[in-house]
Amino acid sequence: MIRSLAKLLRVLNSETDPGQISLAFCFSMIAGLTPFVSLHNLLVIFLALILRVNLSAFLLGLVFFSGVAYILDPLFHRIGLAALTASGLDGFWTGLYNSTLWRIEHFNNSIVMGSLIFSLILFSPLFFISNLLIRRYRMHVLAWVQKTRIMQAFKGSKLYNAYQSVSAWRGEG
Amino acid sequence: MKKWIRWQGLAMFSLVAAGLLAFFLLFIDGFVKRMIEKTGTAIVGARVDLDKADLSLFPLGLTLDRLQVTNPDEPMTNAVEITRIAFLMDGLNLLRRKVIIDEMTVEEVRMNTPRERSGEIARRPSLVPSTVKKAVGKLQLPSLEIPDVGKILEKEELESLRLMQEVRDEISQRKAKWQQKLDELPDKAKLEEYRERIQKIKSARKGGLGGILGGASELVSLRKELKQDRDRIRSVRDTFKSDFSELRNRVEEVSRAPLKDVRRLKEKYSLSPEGLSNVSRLLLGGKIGGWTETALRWHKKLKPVLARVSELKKDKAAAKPPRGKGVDVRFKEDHPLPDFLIRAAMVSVEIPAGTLSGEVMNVTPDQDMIGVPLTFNFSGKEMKDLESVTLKGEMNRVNPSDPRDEVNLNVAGYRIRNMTLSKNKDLPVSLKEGLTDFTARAVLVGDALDATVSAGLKSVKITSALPEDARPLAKAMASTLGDIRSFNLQATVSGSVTDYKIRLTSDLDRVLKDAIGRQVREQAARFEKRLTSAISEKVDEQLADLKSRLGGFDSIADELTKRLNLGDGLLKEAAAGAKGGLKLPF
Repeated sequence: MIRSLAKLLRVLNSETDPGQISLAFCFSMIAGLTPFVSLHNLLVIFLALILRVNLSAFLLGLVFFSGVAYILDPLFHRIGLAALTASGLDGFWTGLYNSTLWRIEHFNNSIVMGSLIFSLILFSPLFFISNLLIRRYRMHVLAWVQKTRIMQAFKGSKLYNAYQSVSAWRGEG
Repeated sequence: MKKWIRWQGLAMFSLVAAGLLAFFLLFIDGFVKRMIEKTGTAIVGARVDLDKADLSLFPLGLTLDRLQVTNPDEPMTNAVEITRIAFLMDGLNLLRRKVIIDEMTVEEVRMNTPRERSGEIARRPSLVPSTVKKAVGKLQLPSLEIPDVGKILEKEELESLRLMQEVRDEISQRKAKWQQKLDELPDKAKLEEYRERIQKIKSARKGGLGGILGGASELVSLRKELKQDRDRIRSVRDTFKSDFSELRNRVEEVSRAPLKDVRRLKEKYSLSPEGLSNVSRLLLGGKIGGWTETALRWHKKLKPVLARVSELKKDKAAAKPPRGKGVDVRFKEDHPLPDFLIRAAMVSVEIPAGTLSGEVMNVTPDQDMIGVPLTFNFSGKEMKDLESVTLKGEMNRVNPSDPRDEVNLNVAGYRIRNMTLSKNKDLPVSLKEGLTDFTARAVLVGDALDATVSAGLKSVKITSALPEDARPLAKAMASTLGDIRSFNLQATVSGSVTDYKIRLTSDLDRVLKDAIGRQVREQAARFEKRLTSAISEKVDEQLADLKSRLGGFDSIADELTKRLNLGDGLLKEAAAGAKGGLKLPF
């Protein structure tokens, strides 16, 4: 069982480039902030699986942003309502409204629209900011974490040993 | 940089999608079942249970087995139980979040079926406040027993006695007054004095011229005095006559007062046939009121089906939505369709008499979008104890600001058995059996209700389980009702749904009035006789006393007449003396 768990952890942590982790966070932001059962999230999950992004970061981010979504719901509603009732976009929205695909997407819901707009706007900034933070963490903080007693104790555990041996099979450092 | 495409991810995505699909296929039926139960319970306010939901994908359809909707007022009874509901849906419209059902089959709808467990979820107030009691009133039977005359006279004041006392006092006062006046008038002694003076004057004439002349002037003076006195007496006598006549009239009036007392008390305490003018309303109105209340309660339950859930229109400000739900903004559709529409539902309803079959068309809260109202049409033939029945109607919300609902019910050859008409303990009445044809029509425009019911009943047997100490009137009415073999009734219900009045007329009223009326009149006559006797006993003595007091005025009248006659006689004598004239000696 420890080996199975180790394999799972390995899979989840296989993509460790800062960009891969950052992209995972960005995808999880879209999936977490918007209603999960939405058509666009099918695309997000597809991209998260087919692109080499860090899956554990994606899952962790999903949990985090789902919690944040609850707090920001009123803001999403206001953004979505403003967008949907903007007179200049009426024709555009009407066109989408008469399309089955977009009706499945439920774009005309204020929460869906508002959270999607919010997460798309923040997509790029989040990518770059988290990229920068991860690099800085690795440069300045990681070494200190490795020396802590908790980390030392974890490195002595069976789980970690199994994890390391699986990593060795895959030729990863 | 590593390659960005993870081809294993495609396999993982396929696995996840397959897993979701498998999950959907395995659990969607349970999910739909729970959704229906939860939504239905929230709408009804009592448990809605579903045995099974079966969603099919190709073609897209849903079958529901044994739907039970609890009656919120009776948690151990289902308001409605449906054995099976089956329908297909338009998949494309469903993706557009529109539930469009072309045809639905609803099999074996039954009402008021028992439940295995309580369907109560929370205490709910009555949906439709009952005004049946206020609208109809309680059956209160007047009594046919002759009231106790003694007790009546103990508490009632007799006007005749009061008048007699008044007149008695008046007689006493006037008698005293006239006696005084009589005393003030010249009496017999005074008048005799005049006679003596006349004689003196007559004898003085024989003494010569001087005597004649002196006598003449004295006579003139005497005549003047006498005339004055006589006129006084006459005036008093005339006034006395008028006064006495008035007093006599008053006594006569008082002698008629006891009859007025009898009439007044008879009207107050005895029964008249007019008091039974609308007993049918009291007997049957409760039943009509109960049916009206039931119909209104069902109407209120069905109203949410036609009520559109308020949504955000793009040009309207949104109300604060529930957290996480948001609001749906609607835009103009190229091919507008309601969000929910059942074009036709084939329904079979099980009633004790058999099966009613029919259809309900255009069930949607957006009637203004399709331009046609909800209509229903049910019929049943050759059912048990029922020849035929048709139920038609519509619920029109094509113009949402002008709602109009109409229902027409025609029943032919319905055999009634053991229907309770009145639960009143003085006169419990039930229709043991009867055959009826009736029509009912009800229109509800907004809150204004207007309904009429016409029924003809024949081969009727009405029974009444009277208590042993039943009043005579109740027995008489029960006997009359038992003899009735047919009757008609017309009822109208009008007002608002929360405050309506029931008006009911029936030829039962005429029959009861005719039969009971004779008994009532006999009872009234007996009561009048007893009352007259008792009042006479009280007043006769006093009336006799009054009349005898009046007789006391005769002596005054006689005395006045005597004095007047005496005065007249003396004046004549004086006049004759004057005519005797001057007789010269040569």
